[in-house]
Amino acid sequence: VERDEFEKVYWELHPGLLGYARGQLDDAAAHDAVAATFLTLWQKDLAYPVDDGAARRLTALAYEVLRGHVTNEYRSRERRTALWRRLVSDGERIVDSVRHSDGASSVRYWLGRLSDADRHVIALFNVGYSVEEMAEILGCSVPAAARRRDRAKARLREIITTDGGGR
Amino acid sequence: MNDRPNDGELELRALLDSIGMESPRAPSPAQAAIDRARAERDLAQITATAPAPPTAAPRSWWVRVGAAAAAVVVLAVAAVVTIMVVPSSSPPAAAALTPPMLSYSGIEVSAVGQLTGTSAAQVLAGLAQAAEAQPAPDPSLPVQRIEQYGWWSTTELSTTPSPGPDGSISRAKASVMVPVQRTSYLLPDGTMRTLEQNGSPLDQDGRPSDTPSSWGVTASASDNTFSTGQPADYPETLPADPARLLAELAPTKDCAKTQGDCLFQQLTSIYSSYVVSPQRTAEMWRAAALAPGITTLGTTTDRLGRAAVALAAPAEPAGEEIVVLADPTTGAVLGSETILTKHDPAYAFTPPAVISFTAIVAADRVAASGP
Repeated sequence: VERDEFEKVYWELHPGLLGYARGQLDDAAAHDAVAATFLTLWQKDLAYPVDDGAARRLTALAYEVLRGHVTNEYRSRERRTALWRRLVSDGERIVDSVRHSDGASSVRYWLGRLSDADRHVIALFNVGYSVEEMAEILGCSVPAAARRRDRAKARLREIITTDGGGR
Repeated sequence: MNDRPNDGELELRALLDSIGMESPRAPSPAQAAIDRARAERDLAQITATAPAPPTAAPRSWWVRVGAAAAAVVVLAVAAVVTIMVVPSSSPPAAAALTPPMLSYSGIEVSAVGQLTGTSAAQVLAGLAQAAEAQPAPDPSLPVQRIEQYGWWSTTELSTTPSPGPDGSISRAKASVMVPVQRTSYLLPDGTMRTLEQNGSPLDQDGRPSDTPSSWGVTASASDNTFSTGQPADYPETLPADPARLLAELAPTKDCAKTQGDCLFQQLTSIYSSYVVSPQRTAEMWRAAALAPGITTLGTTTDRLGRAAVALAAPAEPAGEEIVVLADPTTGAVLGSETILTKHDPAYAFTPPAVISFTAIVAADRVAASGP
């Protein structure tokens, strides 16, 4: 892809990807994840999409790459949280305080309880993608995308119900 | 995007609202300007780097050329990328990218990770005795310094597509090892400063990769200062009695089936942050002797060339084993390794594989918190 073509793709995809990342990460981390995603795309010798289908597949690829960066960030946070739990005698209270602290931290806490796949589907939904568009991004049929979304919803509901009312 | 939400979507929206996850809104003009400036800066930095050179394989994988031809294209691209990562003469990529397994005197390399070891009771008693014989660190030096070196694994989705069973396009996971060097300074008030350097992902020969990375892992350095919320002498405040110490660090209510792993996780964390007194180290080993599931793999030479005894415990989550290395002459903790013992979808490594290791290079007291 030529530089001017890449820039077109960049400005086309950037707002959606940033919204997706912001739904799951703090602002700085979201920007970092999106930048890392575009760096990956730039460093891959991809062809400029020549039709709508190719553009949709490129969009899907971008979200998959970004999903990987977001997952890594969550994994990194899990490590740090585990370290805190081990280092601090009342680690549970710290985690609890995170859950009830500022909104962004609270969202990350709940999303962190979900699997990578469920978090991805929910983040796509939150950005505003329809089930048909999710199917394109997820690379599955529309009914399968709907099932994934419903499963993710059920798991989130279960977590909120059991964890939210438990501790 | 969405037209008219159905009941399921409304319920999901309500759930997200309940956890504070808002739908993205159009940013304010001020925020939009900030975002634009950041995006322009990122774009300039990205395009200032060299794009990957064209590969010999077909690259326009998203072009529809019919199902059969597409499958051939996908496989060809996958093959080329595999070759880029690992020479054809090497073992499979996942296995080759992990550090080599250490050799242990008490177990065949092929059996490492199969959770087979012998009782560690005598070894632990010896470590406790050795630790007790060591002099205490100089209390006049106020700052605790821990220098560590290690490799941590990270996993991301490859940009290389492959066909799923239903014909959908999916992307394989790719795991790489990232070298990390970390020095921490713990001040008397519990404030910690950490200096950390992450290296580039490593090629199969252990050297930094000069192949454009698809994993987004880049060399970086950080310098952070934060409060640990704990006293600087936290390890010394723990119970001295081994049984109580074990109960404190690995309570049975949380670690019923994995008390050895819980204890080792705590132990490695503590030794990664604190300079622990020899007496307390001896008590740690005596506590470990009381934990079920801890075995010894015999002696070994660690990543820094030091003689060590290896203690192992099946880890939580199942499918991993944690190995703690200790100096047999001083009883000091030298580091730890985590071995993937069963296939785990979270990693693209072939078990058994070392998925992380940490070597404690130095643990001492110094006058100030670094440069």
